[in-house]
Amino acid sequence: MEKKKNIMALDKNIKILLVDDFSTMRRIEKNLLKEIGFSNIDEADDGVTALPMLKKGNYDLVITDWNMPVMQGIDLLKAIRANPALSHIPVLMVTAESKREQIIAAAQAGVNGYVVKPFTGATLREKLEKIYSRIN
Amino acid sequence: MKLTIYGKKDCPFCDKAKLLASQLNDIRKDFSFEYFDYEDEGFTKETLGEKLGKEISTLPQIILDDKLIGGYTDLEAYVRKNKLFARQ
Repeated sequence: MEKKKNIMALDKNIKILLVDDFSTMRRIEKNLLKEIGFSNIDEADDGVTALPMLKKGNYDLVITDWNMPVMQGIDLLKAIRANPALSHIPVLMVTAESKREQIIAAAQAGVNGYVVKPFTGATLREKLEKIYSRIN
Repeated sequence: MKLTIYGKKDCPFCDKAKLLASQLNDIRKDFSFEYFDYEDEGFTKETLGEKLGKEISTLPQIILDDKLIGGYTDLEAYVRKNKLFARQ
């Protein structure tokens, strides 16, 4: 049975998986998430590490970098959408590039939001509010 | 790559510029930055404008390698355009 939670707009207790192979970037994003009130955050260093965590972890949101070795963010997104147990999880894609073809590819793969680095805590909050307003 | 920020107290965009600069400092080996409170440095907006070669009305004023970038929004746009957060 799908373990989808009924998440109200910006429930600060949601469980977030932050995926980026660059630990400094994970720390920056984690700090931004903390700044806007989220603290239930786990980290993975690429898609291959993230997938088993997602299968076990009952996560409410994935924030993933696009450009990672081994398994790119877009492939992680596709794997999440292809897995019935995970497909409901909102995914916010983080990238240093704002190429039109990337945005289209992410949208086609079922991304919920897309944010170009650098971004502030306020931008992150806006993106998450947008994601959850659509879901709710 | 060296960033110089002239800011002032109680200035949210100066704080944002500082945060972005510190993130770039963490991410990039080729990056450093300095932050100055323009009043603590003895400037007025007029004298700072003279130093930067441009009349200024707002802060922060951000300089990258001797080139005036502008304010926080200009810095953010510059960082995006030049993909300074991309893997080196």
